[in-house]
Amino acid sequence: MLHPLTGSTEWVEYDGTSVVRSVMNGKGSLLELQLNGPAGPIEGVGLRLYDPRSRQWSLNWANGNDGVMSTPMFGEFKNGRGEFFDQETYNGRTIYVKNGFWDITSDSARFEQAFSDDGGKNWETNWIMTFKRVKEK
Amino acid sequence: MLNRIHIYLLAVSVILVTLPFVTRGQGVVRTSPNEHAKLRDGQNDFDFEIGTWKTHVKRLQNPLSGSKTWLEYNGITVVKKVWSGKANLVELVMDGPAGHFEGLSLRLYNPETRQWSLNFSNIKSGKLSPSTIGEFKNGRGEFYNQETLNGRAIFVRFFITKITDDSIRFEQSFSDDGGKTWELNWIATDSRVKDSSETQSTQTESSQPSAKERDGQNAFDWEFGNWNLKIKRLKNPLTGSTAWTELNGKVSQRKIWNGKANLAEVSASGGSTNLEFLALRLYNPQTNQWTLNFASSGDGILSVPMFGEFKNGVGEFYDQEMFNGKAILVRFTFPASTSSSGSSEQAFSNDGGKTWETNWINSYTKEEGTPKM
Repeated sequence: MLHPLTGSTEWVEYDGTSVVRSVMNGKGSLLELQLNGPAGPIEGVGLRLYDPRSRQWSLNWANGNDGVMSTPMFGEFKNGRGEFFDQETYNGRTIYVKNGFWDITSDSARFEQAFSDDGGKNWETNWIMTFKRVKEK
Repeated sequence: MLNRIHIYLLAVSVILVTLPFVTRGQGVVRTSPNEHAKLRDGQNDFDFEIGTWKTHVKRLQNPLSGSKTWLEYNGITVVKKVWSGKANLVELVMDGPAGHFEGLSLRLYNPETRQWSLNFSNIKSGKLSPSTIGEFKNGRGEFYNQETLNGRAIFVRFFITKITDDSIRFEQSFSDDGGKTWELNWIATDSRVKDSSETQSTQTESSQPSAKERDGQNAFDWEFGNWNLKIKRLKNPLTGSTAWTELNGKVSQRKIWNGKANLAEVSASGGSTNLEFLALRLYNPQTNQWTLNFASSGDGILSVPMFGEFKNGVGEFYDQEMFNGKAILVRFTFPASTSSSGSSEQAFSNDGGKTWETNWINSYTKEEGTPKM
């Protein structure tokens, strides 16, 4: 969605590849994302780190445009769904942000991002990604 | 969070450019002023709370543990205006079975986004918790935050409900599932005190500080009261320019927690520039360090804290901030002062502290007729 939390429902589409590798013997993973679409290319990385004490994962995103690591999002997997949350600033206002992974099979998964401007009562989804595994040759 | 391209422009510029006051308006990308104009203006939303209140608190001893043990406290809350009402300061002193408690909350309003931030500290920690942010809707203030409890990241919710002109209810809840379910863990009810003599016996009797604490926690005592202020400010820091501007104004400094914290309110103008900002200084008795927390009334956003201490009468405070997109070191200095005059200076370093460029000089002189506090 091009303009989240504005009432606009204008979406753009991208296609690309993501490569995920395990780091620190599975206590973390690194996702590299490369997308192309009408609004231009998007490059990003996601470093996911597991805290065995709290049993929560943190998702740490960085974008190729600025190379700055975002605020970590914290959460966990339950019943096959992963949900991760943080509080961020968007257009100046402080909002809640949710990242979700679901419909997870060995060869596919779905990712959604949503924003809430009312403390989590209502969420507006603004980013949907579907992943399909590319079989190694 | 994905899609950070323009989010980062905003975050870096508005949130992380936290230099006390120098950089306000310099290279700051702001949202257009009309962007949030459809939202109601909440600047007066806390006016009803100004005054003195009797406070009763019920607190869940161990939140999110399944335990149902509640502790009770009784105390006094005093809410005072800051910047003539654009912000306010809450001081809460109470006692109960779990001991003595002294806390403060600095509430700041962001007129651009029309959100309030609640910034809480208690006397034991001497540092600010992350801001809880939100707004009033249909008579209830709803404020939200993400914090860490026992190592886990959780959501925090704080509700403020005006029951009548003379009573208010406060509720804090935690959520460990992204806001789907909430557990209530703090209920406070405030009843307005009309006769101030009622509160005198319950005012804090802070314990006497040890000699070591006294070194640090009285460090700002020289500053209490009202001062005339002259500001010299470098127009364009770290550019090689040596063009300075001057502003004139006033500083008023109030004592909190018997000197373990204080709030300085500053207003100054010169040419076409009008500045209004505050500095909340908090003493951490464990580390013997102070934090300086700055905010301007233009956006009501608290800066990254600067950490430091006084040695031999000279105070030095440091942090790292973003300036024009680059990470730099920032230093704030209080040279030795007298009871009738003082000064402070800000400097930037873009070489890791090897060289410093002074870009802001405050000179204070005691206002005539101001009693020494």
